[in-house]
Amino acid sequence: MSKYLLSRLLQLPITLLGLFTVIFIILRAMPGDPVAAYLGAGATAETLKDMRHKFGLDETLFAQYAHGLLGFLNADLGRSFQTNRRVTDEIMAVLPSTAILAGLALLVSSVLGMAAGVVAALRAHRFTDYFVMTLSVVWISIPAFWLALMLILVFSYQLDLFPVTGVSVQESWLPQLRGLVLPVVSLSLLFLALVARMTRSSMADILHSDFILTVRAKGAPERLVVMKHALRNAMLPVVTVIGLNTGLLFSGAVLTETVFARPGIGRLLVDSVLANDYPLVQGIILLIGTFYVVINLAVDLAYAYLDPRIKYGAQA
Amino acid sequence: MLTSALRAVRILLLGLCMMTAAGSVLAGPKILRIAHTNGLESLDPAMSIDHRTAMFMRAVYDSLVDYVPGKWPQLENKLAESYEISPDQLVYTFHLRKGMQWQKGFGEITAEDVKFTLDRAMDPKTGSPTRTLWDPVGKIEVPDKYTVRITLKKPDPGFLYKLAPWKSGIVVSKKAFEKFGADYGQKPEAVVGSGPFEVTAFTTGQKYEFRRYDKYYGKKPKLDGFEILAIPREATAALALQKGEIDMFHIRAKETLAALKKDPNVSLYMGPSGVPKAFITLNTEGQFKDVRVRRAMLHALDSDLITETVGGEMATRACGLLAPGVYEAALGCDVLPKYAYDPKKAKQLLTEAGFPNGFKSKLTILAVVPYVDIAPVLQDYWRKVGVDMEIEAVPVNDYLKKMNDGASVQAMIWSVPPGPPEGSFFLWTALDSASTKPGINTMLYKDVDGLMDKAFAAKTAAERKELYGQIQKKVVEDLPILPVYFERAVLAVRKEVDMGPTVNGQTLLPSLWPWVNIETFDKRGD
Repeated sequence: MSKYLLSRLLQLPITLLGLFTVIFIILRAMPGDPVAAYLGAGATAETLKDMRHKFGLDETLFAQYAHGLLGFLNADLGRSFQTNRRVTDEIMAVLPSTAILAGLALLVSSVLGMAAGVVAALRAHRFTDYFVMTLSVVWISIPAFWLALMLILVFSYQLDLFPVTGVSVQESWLPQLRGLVLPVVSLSLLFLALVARMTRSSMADILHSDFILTVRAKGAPERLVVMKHALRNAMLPVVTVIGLNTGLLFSGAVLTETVFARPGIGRLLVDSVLANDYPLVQGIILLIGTFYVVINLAVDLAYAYLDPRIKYGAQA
Repeated sequence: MLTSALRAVRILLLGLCMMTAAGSVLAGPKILRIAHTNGLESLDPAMSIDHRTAMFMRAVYDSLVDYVPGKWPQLENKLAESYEISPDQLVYTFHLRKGMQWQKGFGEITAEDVKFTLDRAMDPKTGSPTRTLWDPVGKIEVPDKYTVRITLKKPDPGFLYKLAPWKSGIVVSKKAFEKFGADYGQKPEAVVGSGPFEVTAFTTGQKYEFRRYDKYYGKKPKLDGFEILAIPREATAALALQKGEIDMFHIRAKETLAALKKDPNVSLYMGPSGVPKAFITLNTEGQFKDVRVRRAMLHALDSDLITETVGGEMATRACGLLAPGVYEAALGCDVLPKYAYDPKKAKQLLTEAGFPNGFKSKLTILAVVPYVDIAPVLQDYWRKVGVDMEIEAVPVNDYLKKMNDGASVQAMIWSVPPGPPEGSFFLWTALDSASTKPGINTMLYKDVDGLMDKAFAAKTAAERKELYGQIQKKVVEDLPILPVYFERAVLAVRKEVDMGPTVNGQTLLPSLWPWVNIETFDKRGD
């Protein structure tokens, strides 16, 4: 197991190097010009030349790649074209906000999604099952930005329960927490629905399997049958979905962040892509890439924990 | 089971009520909260280009001269106690006030700081996007600690306005830049201003906090501070304003304006229109070489109706290039040549120019609102007179690259933020063949270059104004640019905010954010 873990961790730098190269190529192939984006229309030829030099864009592509790579190997991701701040500082400024939002959304969507899925599976083909599954289809189908605006309209504007923007002017924890409620609800619902559907489907299969029949025949209490024997075995596909959700929540919260005016990695990425801010885009994609690799590893390790038959690094 | 569930719901509701109450009972100092689409681009004045950022810059930094609140475009002395301009308009000598202090303990403001500011902005190594503004500057001398002498290579009628707080006109601390180097502006302690407010905290792209600087040499602000919150979506900002979470934001969509008009807690301040929004530049060397074709293109448009329906309340009809109410020398519709909506005349002009059956061309636009709304309307009008304009909508970056690379286009909807009120900068940017590559077409039009040289070298303001008038008339006769409407900027503000003379005077200019005076604002009942 430790060998497997080590080999997977050793793959990380290679993955990131590949990612760095791919992003470098894609960014340079993208239409638009970072200098034009920075200066706006009507910049003089002289100013354009100055700025190209300042950003290092007057060098050959190979030289730009070599400089970028050297910086990357020295853990220096450069400075943002737009703000001149270090890329690491830019990312660290918004990372906690995304981590809190995504973390809470993941917790809510996983716990409630699994609970809803288990209940639906236990009441399969009955009203509760149809209700939960219909609701999950609705939630999956609702556009995230529309849902976010409706939540603001009802719970912030009409009922005055939560702030509109999600970024509280006050600094104490209580208003901050209030500001998180609607974004978390808005972001969780889609993922909650996905987890619920996957849990329901997986649980329904497991509950009809022979070993569950055997456990029940042995007189085990129903709670033990469901929670220990059925749920643990039904978790493998659910864990995969939760793993995917984690990555998506981390990088894809852009709509929620935009509507609720919350800072975050997703919004920063979109802004930096629109501005052709090469160093910042590279930095964020590398961070997200690292995160995906770690999450995939965690999911693989979780498989081994949930199903003892899965052994990594052992000969077949 | 049911009892437990009910108890849980009760606790949840109680928690929500407490959270709501906690939010509402908190009262504090008078802080104005302003929503901004994005964060501020840079807190280093030399690196800032966005004119909205400049509004906040001028609250933190001072310049040699500044606009008098409510008396646009009159200038008053700021860091400078007095100044003289030589009769040949080449030498500007500024005498600084004594004893003014930089924020955060960076010592006295001296002439060396002014020289450093300009030298830095002009140095290509700095990479300032506004470097070329200072092209006319020949040399900068510091005869003594409180005197700075700037000698120009050639007269520049807009020079004094360039020294007012607009882009690079803001003076920075030499000591602070020597201390922080490339990290200047990256953290609150590395933003050293001389203005009425100082930066106390910020998270880039999200939130910026400014508090009153009590050692400010000038008039003290009424507010204890202000904050900028980045709210990208206008719908969210509008709801936040209605709920009182923010105090002010700049409306960009006419739909938002219509919605907020109904709210009794919100005041709407309409500025004079400054930004040319539906202006079409035509390629005077290409398909639009014949002036009759250009005139036909404008006669084909029902500009009044387009202004009313597409621009709505945010728009005012344009007859020329300079917006009245914004530029001192702007001529009104009563003086400029008129082009009434007349499709028959348009067809006749096209026939005379050798296009009895019309022709095909392309209209390049930025793929964002309002251009994507305006373009199909124009296309429809032109089609009626036989001109088939294909719309080429390009993303912002492509559009800017196209303009800056000088890629020639046939027709383009063009927009540029307004510049200083004197007019020379705007006219030069828009029309001088040396200013911009053919990307916006106007470089191809050379017929007012001579007039512009004359105007910039004019000895008196009256003579210059007369020449600006001639330029405007000539441009409307020749139509290298078809003027349709200007966009009016609107500020949506909570009722409890007192905007001071900026609003109470006759000259509210929110479209020109750099000149909005936050230090004159006040807030009641907070």
